Amino acid sequence: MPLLSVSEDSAYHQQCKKRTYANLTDVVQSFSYGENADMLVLELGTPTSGDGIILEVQNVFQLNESMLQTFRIVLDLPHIDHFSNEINFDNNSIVFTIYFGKAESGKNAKCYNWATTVLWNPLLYFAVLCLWNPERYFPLAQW
Amino acid sequence: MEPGTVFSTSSMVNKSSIVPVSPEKMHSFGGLEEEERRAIQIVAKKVKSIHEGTMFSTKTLPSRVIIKFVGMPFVTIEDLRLINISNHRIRSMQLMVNQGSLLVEVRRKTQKPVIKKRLESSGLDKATLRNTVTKFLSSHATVVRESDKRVVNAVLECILRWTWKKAAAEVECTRDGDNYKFKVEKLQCVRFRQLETLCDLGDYVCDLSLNFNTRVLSFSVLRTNAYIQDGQAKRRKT
Repeated sequence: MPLLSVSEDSAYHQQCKKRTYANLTDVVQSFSYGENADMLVLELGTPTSGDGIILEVQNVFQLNESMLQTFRIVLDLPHIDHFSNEINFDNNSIVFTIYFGKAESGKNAKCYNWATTVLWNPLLYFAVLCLWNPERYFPLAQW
Repeated sequence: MEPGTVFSTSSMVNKSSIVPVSPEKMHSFGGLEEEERRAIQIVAKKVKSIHEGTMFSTKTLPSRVIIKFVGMPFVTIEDLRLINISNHRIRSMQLMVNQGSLLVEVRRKTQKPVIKKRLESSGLDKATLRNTVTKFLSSHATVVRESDKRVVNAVLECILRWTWKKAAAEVECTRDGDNYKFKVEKLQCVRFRQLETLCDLGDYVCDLSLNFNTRVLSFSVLRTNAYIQDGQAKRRKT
């Protein structure tokens, strides 16, 4: 059935969803001890107001600032635009509504993107060899 | 909800009084006044008359009592209206679709000074609303007739408003003869007032019911001459 939402179901967003879910699950597992031994992460769906994911951490019986802070740090990633969390004391759950940013492409993708083109260029390696041993590798030196 | 305050409607309501025999077991009723207990009893009795095997638990707060009903297989808008008018103290009703429960909020007698709540902007502007609904309708172009597009638009706008900034609902629109059948899945929770806004669109929105087992909200939209011939869809005054 089609979703009634603003969001677009693209491959990039699917990847972001998987990554976010995996990250949060890992962190929640590390906090699953004592009172919170049964903590679970559940995917509730996609928010209507944008591209993202809604995740619920269930069976939270003990909540402290360090746990919340860790969750926030995990969700502070480049592909995540912003997020909001809601603590439901009635159901002992925390609901995270996470919104993803747009897929980066072209020149603005990453600041170190220029390196990939340069590193794959064989001329770079030739230049390095010339500098290392110009007598052997520099073609003009032989003449 | 407190685990010690779960009651069966059948065992509670049939008795002449709901005052507990051993107060330590039913501590949530201890601090309640007679009128408040009666309000709970009336609401529980009404729900029991609709669904026999319903269980309920209460949570007493200084300003309100929250009654949680579980074990309801389904609920219709008519049932909710009956529950709503059963007592004047009922402040709101919420259908927790995910948990399969109905929350009824009963106002307590002690009233605090009323502070007007500022209406928060939901961030849902008309253009976004229209664009999303139009995009959705384009996938149902073969189902929805040109003359019915306006009313289906209004229905979808209503559902989008309910779910805005929450989990998106899956909506299925099928044509059944002259009418349309809607199925809404993946709803997290919906309020009675929100359901009423859908019914307020007109008499052509009918058979609204929520199945807690399948977690599907279903309703029909009848095809009438009223909205086709009228220049604008009019809101029904109740």
